[in-house]
Amino acid sequence: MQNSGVWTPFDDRAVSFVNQFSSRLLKSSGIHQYPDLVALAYWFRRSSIKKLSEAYPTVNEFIRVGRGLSLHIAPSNVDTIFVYSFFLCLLSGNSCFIRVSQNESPQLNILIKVFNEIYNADGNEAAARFVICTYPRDSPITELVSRHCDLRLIWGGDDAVSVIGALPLKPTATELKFPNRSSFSAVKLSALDRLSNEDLRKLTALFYNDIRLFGQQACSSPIAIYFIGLPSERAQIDRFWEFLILAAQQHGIEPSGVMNRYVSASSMAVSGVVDGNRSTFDSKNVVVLDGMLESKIKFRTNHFGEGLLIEYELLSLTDLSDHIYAQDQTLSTFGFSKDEIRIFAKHLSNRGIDRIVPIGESLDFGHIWDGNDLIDSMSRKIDVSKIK
Amino acid sequence: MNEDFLNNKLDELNLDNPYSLNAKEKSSFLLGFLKELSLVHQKKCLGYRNFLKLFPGTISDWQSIGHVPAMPVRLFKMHDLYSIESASILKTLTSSGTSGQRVSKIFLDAITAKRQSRILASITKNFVGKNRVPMVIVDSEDLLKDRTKLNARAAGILGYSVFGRDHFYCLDSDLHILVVELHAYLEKYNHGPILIFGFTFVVWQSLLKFAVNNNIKLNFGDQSILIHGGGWKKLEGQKVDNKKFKDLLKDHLGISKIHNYYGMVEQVGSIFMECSHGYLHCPDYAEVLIRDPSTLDVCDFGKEGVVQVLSILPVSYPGHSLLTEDLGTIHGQDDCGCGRMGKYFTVSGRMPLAELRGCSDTRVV
Repeated sequence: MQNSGVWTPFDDRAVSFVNQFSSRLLKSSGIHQYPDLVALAYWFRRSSIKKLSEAYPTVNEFIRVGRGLSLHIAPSNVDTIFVYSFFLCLLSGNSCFIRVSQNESPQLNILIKVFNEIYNADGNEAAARFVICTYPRDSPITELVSRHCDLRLIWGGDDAVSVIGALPLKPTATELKFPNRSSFSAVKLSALDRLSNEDLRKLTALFYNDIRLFGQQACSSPIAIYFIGLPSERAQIDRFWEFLILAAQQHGIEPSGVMNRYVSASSMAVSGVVDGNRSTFDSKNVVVLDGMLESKIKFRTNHFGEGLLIEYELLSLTDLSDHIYAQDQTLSTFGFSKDEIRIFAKHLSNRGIDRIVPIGESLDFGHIWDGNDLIDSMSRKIDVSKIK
Repeated sequence: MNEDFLNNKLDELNLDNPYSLNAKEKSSFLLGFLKELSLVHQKKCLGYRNFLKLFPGTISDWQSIGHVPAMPVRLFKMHDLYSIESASILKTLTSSGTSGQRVSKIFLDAITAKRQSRILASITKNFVGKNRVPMVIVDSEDLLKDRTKLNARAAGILGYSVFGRDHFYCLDSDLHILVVELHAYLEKYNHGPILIFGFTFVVWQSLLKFAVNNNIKLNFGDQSILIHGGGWKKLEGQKVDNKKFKDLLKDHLGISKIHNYYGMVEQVGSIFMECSHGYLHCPDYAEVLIRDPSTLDVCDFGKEGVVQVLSILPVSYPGHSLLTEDLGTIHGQDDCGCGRMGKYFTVSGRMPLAELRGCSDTRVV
């Protein structure tokens, strides 16, 4: 695989492989139980890859090519991440060595089955350009491949990122790291006020979807809400929760989730992160805790997901910039104009916040991730601008 | 509420029969102490004071023990919680977690530690009698080397060793049985009762399984009593339940009086002992509630749910009302065939716990 060379981005052979995967995955049985797999299949469908490729046109100034062999260390919390990482890298012109988590899941099994089907079908040159495997975390394989790869991508917790990041790379190799991140939402109260009950029902259903998938434990899952507005608009906060609980009642969580959520809420209370609670711990509820803005420790540690939200109130969106930490990733919003968002983004004074999206799209993957244009970072440019 | 006053009141309790209160007497007795304990912890422990903010109302509003909030037992692995000056900490108990896992830390002052021993004695004597008899401890003496930092196993052994005399630790430092020495000990004492104590898993792994696999028959004598605890989790993979455990003990070691106990490092002292009818019993100083795993509401008798344990012993740390991650069922109150008053129950195992799916491969909590 090391000798399989580089391709130019969006090479027909890579595109056709990815398209084939997408259509086979959509047709595989049982897939509709797993919205994350459906989202993955849609993300890589033919038309969307074509659109993505149009953002990287052939230009006079440089020629874009892959970097070579890539090593992908996939996380265990989101089963589909390794496919995004792998396909974008394949489409960027690289060959890919992918280590997936040792935790089996139904989603992972479906994905591997589809890969096997395509692998065994004839005529896929791209099939010779990747290996998907798993092995124990302490195996020397990661170290060995690190020494030979041209690009390393580490998706994982902070511990994994620093342990694997310490393994030597070739001097010419580059690396992208995706450590723990935290995400939350901001909602404008005056805009809620203007929403009909039916529209609020839709909004809270979208929000509930953002916290339900991946057990609210993905890096992009919102774990807190900042309500932005005047104290006189507080009735809208109650209205929001009332509708969100209705959305939660249609689903419910497992007893293990109820326990983890109770432990998490208790731990946050003990640490002084929160000052009150407006909920019961029932499985068909969301647990909403009143966050204390002045608390030095924030909601980002010991949050175990499963439908636990910390609520804060602020007068304006720009005030939120004082509460952003470097690890913050996605801000999902409702009710703000693009100008308001731009002003907020200009107020940011640290590494925090890499995505601002509407509520309901927190978990959607993008080729711009954690502040990097992935196609750009996974390929390189041969400068030919001086050649007439 | 002043903690000195509470300590005095607790230490004036009559300990002659730890299974004497009927349902009506017990509920008012317990609620009074639990509310006083909560007031002390609210005053002295910032973490507990903050924890109470999760629940509506104030302590004075609590009408039944079901209203006493149950602190998740896992919190003692995540936070250092105590209600005394740090200078008064006499010893810190830790749970015997496997490597890599975080352990519980329980902070004891002299008064609480002493009370735990007294209550444990009161309960144990109810089962083994008042006389101190020769005692075999199914463990290695090496476990007790550092007495200022005790894990649950060492603390249990120390706590129980006072009930016997002429102690014999029947395992070496690798937990292999000292066969020759044990034979000699049994020869010497087999005319009368012997008290045997050990952790369930150690008794199984190092003593019973060894005897079964090598077809060794030992005779501890039919007056001997085994007390064991620490949980069945490690035995699940070996298909050994309480009944099979008892049958094998009788066949291979000649022990027929066997009492499992349910207890945890977070509530040392007020343990729940298994009676001759096979039920765990709440002593007067402790109580069990079962909570629905989906709602965390209190369940009726007969329904399986998450075990909440309450104890009036912990004054030095806020461990008087804990939500465990064990599943259990209450079978009745005041009417067990063994004659003891109080609730009787069984524990069926651990709640299946979802793995926390952080970005990292493993996030051990």
